[in-house]
Amino acid sequence: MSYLTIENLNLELGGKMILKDLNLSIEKGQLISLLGPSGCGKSTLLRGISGLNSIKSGKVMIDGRDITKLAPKKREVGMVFQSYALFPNLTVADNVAFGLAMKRIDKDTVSKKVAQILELVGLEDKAKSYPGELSGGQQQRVALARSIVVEPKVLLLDEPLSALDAQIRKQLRLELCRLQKKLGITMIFVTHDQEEAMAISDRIFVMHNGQIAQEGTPSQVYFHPSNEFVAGFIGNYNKLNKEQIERLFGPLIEEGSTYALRPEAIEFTPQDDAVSVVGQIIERHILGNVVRCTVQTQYGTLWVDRMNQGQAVLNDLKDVTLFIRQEDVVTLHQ
Amino acid sequence: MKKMNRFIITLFVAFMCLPILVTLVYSFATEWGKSILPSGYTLKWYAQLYQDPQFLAAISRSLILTVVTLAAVLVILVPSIALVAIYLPKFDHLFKPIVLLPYAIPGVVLATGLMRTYTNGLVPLFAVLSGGLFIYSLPFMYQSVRSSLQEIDGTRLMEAAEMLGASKVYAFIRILLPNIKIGIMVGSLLTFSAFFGEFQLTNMILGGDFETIRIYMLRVMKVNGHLSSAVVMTYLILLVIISALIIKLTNMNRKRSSMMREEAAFKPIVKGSPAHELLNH
Amino acid sequence: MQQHWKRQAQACLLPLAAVLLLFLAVPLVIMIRQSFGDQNGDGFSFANFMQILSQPFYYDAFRNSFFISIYSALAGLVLAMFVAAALARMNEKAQEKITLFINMTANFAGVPLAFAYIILLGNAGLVTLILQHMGISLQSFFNLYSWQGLALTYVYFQVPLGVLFLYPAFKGMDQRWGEAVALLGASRFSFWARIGIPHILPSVLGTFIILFANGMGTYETAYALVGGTVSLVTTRIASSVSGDIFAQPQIGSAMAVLFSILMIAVLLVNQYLLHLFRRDIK
Ligand SMILES: Nc1ncnc2c1ncn2[C@@H]1O[C@H](COP(=O)(O)OP(=O)(O)O)[C@@H](O)[C@H]1O
Ligand SMILES: [Mg+2]
Repeated sequence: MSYLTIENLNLELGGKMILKDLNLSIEKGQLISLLGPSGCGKSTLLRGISGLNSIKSGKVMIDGRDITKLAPKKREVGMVFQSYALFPNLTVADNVAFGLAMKRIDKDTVSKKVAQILELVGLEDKAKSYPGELSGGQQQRVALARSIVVEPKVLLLDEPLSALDAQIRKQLRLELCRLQKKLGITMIFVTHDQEEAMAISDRIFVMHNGQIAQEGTPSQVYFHPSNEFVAGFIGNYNKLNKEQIERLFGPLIEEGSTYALRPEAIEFTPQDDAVSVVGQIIERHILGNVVRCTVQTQYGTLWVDRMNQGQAVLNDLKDVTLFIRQEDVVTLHQ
Repeated sequence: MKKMNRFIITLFVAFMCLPILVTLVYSFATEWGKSILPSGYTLKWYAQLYQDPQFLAAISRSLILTVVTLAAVLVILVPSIALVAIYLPKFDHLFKPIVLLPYAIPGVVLATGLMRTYTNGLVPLFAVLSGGLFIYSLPFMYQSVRSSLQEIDGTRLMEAAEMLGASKVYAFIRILLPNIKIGIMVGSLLTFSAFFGEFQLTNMILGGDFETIRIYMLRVMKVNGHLSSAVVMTYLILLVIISALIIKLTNMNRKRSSMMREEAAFKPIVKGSPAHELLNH
Repeated sequence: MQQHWKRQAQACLLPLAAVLLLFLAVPLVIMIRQSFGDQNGDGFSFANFMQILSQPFYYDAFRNSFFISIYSALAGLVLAMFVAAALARMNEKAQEKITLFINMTANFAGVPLAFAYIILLGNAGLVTLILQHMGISLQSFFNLYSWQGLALTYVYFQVPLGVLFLYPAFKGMDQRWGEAVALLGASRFSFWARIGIPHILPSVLGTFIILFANGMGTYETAYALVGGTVSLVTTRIASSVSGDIFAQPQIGSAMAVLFSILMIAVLLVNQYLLHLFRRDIK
């Protein structure tokens, strides 16, 4: 049963159609990521769901209720902004209590809930501080607490970690995951960082040009990109055309014009059912624990990723034989 | 090179202070003009001034004009600026040119228009004058409030409050206003000193019928220069107090904002607001 | 719902719109209308404008204002450039103090300024007396109550205004100077030719135009210092409109219209120049 459903959503900004006939449905209690390059309309989609931008046509339903025409505050949707958007004139506790006070909950309950949630995000000792006195990571935790404490049906997070240092970002995203599972919150997490999306999501929606380009679990999206855009955006696939593929494997049964091959699926050592291709390594780039080799072959240049284990052989290797299995080739659709 | 810079700045400060200093000395001099140094020093001009009911009346008139107009500015202008900045960006381009308004439509031109329109008694001239001053407060207020709003990212704060269930009016009063308070206060103080020292519109529209502090100053200058100097010094001290308040508020603002966002550069509100220079010539 | 709110928001702007209409738009329109009318504001002709352009009594006012503003703006600009350049190299604290100092002295312009200059340079002024002791007669080559005195007095408020406008550009330039030296080992000459002058020129031109406009609009200082003895646009308009003896409001209106057109033209030239220079940036 779908919890949040978006049907044929069209949203226009400044005379330009930003979201085009967008469809999406999400299960309750899941953490889903909206992944896409900057400018593809991720923020706009969140603002359409929250009601901050009015939509042109289409329908937004949460928990069976049509909220398309409701004011933002009536939608029971929470939002966490990239810039935190904490209220500088209120203490951390008052920031967190703000939404509860709007619901006219009695004071004792409010302070109890505020204390609980602050403990949950590890800021119980900062209750009396002002936002200006906190670090970026702490501020974003407050923002998270402030949105969670009112128990929204869906929590929208617009690149909440982008303004933070790499290290804090990784730590905070784990905490976010833990919190989400513990409280069973339905979350839509926007990011342009594919690694981040892979790490935390139950499902990923890849966005492109105001539409959903593909949806699936992280491994589905990673191992089976369904079109050229996703293959290019997720993990630097080698792109091959029909002719190249047929020269490698002979006539194909499956229809298609473009094919993708993951750089790490290509091996330097013989494999079962693999065809071999000779080539020369013309470039090497160390990407952390992976070495990306650019290999010149008669079928064009291919990227090959190997684990970086400091092998001298990798450094000296020039002429190589590549082994490619047909099952690793993914057919892309336009 | 360092010495040279220091020398130039010192010269500049001296150049700016010299007229103020001679006025100060003049206000304490029994007589000055026959010899290079004053013939004696006295406090009698100040004593005489503070006993002059017309001086007190002039100060009161200036205060009334300033406070009434400033109140109108705060009630009408400030919410409008915020509203346009946050919700009606379409109108924003209409606001931008007003920074140049005092140059494009100098006081004498607006005063001419106001007089040609309202000397028929349709609207009380005090209200006309107040309306004219209101127009010239636009640049100060717009700049201070806008930069304040930008600094706190007012649009985002309003959205965040709304997402948490607040109405727009509640969010404006409880969240937006407290956070741009300092910008509003700085703008108000700048406007205050401009209104308080206003001469041109007042002189053209009401002239001797409404003797404000500057008009009083000029009248006394023609009769007794020493007394007039005492007026100038009193007036300046009042404004120094106001400026001190501005400094204090700007510093407060900077402390808060630098804590708020580590990397965000502080944008001065008073500093480099040349608009302030314009009204008092 | 969104549309509804937009309309409400626009309604909230009505009070401001009313004030702008009542105290800016309507007066300006009426003034423009009357500039084409006769003594009673009736009829339609260019007679008032012809009169202004043909009678020295009126066009002298424009000429005097123009030259006083040009001189004071030039002097103010040159002095302000020295101060701004020096200020840009001071530490942050000193810069802040000076800008605040400038803001405070702004309150001194007008009547107090005119009077202070009378104490300094008037017939019995301090400088006049000192020069007299040295056997020099100031009055033989300088008259405070003439256009000379006005131009000199204007410089007092032109310099600080110029500093406020120029100083950001000089500050930016100092940064670029550092970068250029560090990265390219640029010589002083090539820095100025390639980076320095192109960088500050727009600001200098813009500041000159603002100072000029500022001088043209000055009323209080002139009114207090020379009254009607030197004919200026501002004082001439004021006396045509509100003077008791020579009240000729339709001429005053026409002068005001010409004056505003001139100022707007000057500002447009400024915008155009800025646009021309900053093409590379925008
Ligand atoms: N107010 C607006 N008016 C017109 N276009 C806009 C407006 N806001 C955003 N856009 C455009 O909408 C597109 C999507 O923006 P956004 O949703 O912010 O992208 P993302 O969050 O994916 O980076 C961008 O191309 C942007 O230029
Ligand atoms: Mg975005």
